[in-house]
Amino acid sequence: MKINEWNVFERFTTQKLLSIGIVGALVGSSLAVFFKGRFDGVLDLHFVNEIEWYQPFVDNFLAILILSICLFFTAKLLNSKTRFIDILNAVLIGRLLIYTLLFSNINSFISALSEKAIADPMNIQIDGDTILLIVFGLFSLALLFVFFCVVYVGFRVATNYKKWRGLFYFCLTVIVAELLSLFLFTYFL
Amino acid sequence: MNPKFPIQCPSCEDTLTVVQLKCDNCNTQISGQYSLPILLKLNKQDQEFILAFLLASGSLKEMAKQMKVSYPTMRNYLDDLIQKIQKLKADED
Repeated sequence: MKINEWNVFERFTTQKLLSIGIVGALVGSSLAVFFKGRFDGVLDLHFVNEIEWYQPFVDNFLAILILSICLFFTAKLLNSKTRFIDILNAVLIGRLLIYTLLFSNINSFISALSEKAIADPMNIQIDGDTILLIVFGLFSLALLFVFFCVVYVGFRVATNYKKWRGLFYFCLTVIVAELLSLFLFTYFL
Repeated sequence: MNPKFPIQCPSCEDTLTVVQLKCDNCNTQISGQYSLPILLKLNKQDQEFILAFLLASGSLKEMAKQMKVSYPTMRNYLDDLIQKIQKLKADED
């Protein structure tokens, strides 16, 4: 049986993916406490000055849950045989990439740069700090794109939906999940 | 050497039919035109999958464990195979 060796969703068992995803989520949340990052949305990571130890764990749990439920709903419409655990694994594995962004805030590095830029947005000088901030922004966007790709690959394996329309439904669902999470995080947390 | 059983015409890739059968014991030969059973129209990989599925008592989880692949990969293969067989059946009818 031919499988794509690079596709972890084809190669690894459900249990292995779930274990990696849960350990990754716990490590990611712990790192977020250390680097003062908040996952206040399914695609969001914001650095703050003060943080309670439990906040990143709650944020991460809700972000994973909201995206998984929204994607599962779409997946069920595309293929009724889709299992929730396969969608959950796709989200858990995809989020491992977002956790790597936390390392950019060692010694509150990115927080300080962002605050400096926000303090006087009309008078931003093109110096070393600004270039670093732009590079970080581009790197974050690239990582977000890879996150989309990884979650989509997992979603495609889970649903076995091969038409291009699947990508459209997937993107639409992620946007809806992001809006829903922003609403919930803004008004309830 | 175990020659590969051909299921497609090497020239135009259409489905092949059986035109001659022979008894190895008495050398009786029968000529005619018989279509291949659906299972023989599948490629070797698909036939091996069906055999493995049967031997695993229809447990995709067990098969996934044996073949060291994920469960959805196995289920997707089965779903694709069902579609292929349904198409072959429809073509036959």
